[in-house]
Amino acid sequence: MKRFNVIVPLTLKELLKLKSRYKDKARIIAGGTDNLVRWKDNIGVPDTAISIMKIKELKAINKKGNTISIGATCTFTDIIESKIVNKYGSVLVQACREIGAVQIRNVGTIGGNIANASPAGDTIPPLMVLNAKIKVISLKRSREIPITEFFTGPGKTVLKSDEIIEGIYFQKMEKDDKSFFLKIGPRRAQAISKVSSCGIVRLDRNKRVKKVWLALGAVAPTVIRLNKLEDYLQNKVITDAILQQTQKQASLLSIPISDIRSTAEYRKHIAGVLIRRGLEMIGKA
Amino acid sequence: MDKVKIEFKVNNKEVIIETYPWKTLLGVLRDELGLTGTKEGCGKGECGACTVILNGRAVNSCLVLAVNLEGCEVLTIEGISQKNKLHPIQESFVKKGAIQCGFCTPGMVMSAYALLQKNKNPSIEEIKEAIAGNLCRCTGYTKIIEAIKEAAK
Repeated sequence: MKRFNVIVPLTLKELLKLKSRYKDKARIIAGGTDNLVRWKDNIGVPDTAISIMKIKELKAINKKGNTISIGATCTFTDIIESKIVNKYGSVLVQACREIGAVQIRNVGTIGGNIANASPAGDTIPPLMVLNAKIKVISLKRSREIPITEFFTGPGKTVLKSDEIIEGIYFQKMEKDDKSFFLKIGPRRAQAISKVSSCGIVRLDRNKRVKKVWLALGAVAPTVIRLNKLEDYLQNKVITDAILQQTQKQASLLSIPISDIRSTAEYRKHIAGVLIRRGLEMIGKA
Repeated sequence: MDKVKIEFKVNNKEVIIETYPWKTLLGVLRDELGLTGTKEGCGKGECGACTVILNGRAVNSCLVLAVNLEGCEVLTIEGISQKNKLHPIQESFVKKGAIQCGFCTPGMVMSAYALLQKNKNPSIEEIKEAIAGNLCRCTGYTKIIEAIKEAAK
């Protein structure tokens, strides 16, 4: 591995100052489960890395009114073990359980998963169906960006060179909301998703779809929300015929590529299957 | 590049080391502290051979930057036996024949240790989940799972 220096700020203020001084010349490293793997292959090794794992302000999970906040350096295990997220954002817990293996979940962070901006990032589909906002801050300003507007392509985001991800904010799920997270990989553990799918369904008393949010990962340059399909399902009872249409639509909305992990044809097909399977599990009449 | 001074605990002993900023916990354990029980398999967090316990949680030591260790507690395979007596998990691995070449064993034992610390009576499924990040290319896992189950008794 090419050599690099590491700076370890202990406070958020210190981090923001460093980021404003170094801009793109320094790379932020959180859990390191993506960065270090690449750097060990001598890909993208920075001269200077800023390790943010010692900053306490970025580690908290809170509920304020109906808003849940998760600090950028919360690990997947922190989220899985959080009473707040289990109660109010269980779809995110479902996804975190499917990431890597215990050792990866214990150090990998939600902020890192977002900053890495992989179309296959497993926390992104649940954050999309939760309509989460990413809070980014710099020395000068702070802004909240809807996660649907955060990614511009594989590995690319709207983050400016002096900004860092402070945390994730979303409105709590309702008590009767049902959700699913399904992914396909070569094996159950340690797998980067070939395709991932996620959804929340809110049914009314007559089992009609009152609200539905759906997302697919690894079938486009970024994770995508399936707005058209959500509109189609509005006010419908989920029957076999509807499920069949849903599968077809989800497949059509997928624009995947072939790469080392899978082929475009398989991804397109399985995207439809996963959305259908998820809705079948949680919403079928 | 300058070395960095880091103070942390390994196997309940305070250590102070000076190392380079790009070094990983695995590198520090093996090269600076001579604790070679922790193995390097893939070096990329896939195989689990380098598993140690960091502040109570199992981690791949190959993916932890040493500079983050300041004030932390690390437990390695060398730290779980007491006075030359094997830990019950190790005893159980021996008894059940859960070892062939042995390269994955330290990591496997540490993952099992982390599991049994928070779950005294894990199911087979929970054991499988706990060692899903540890590859063994010899045994086929059955005896390892049996050994962990036995150690929990």
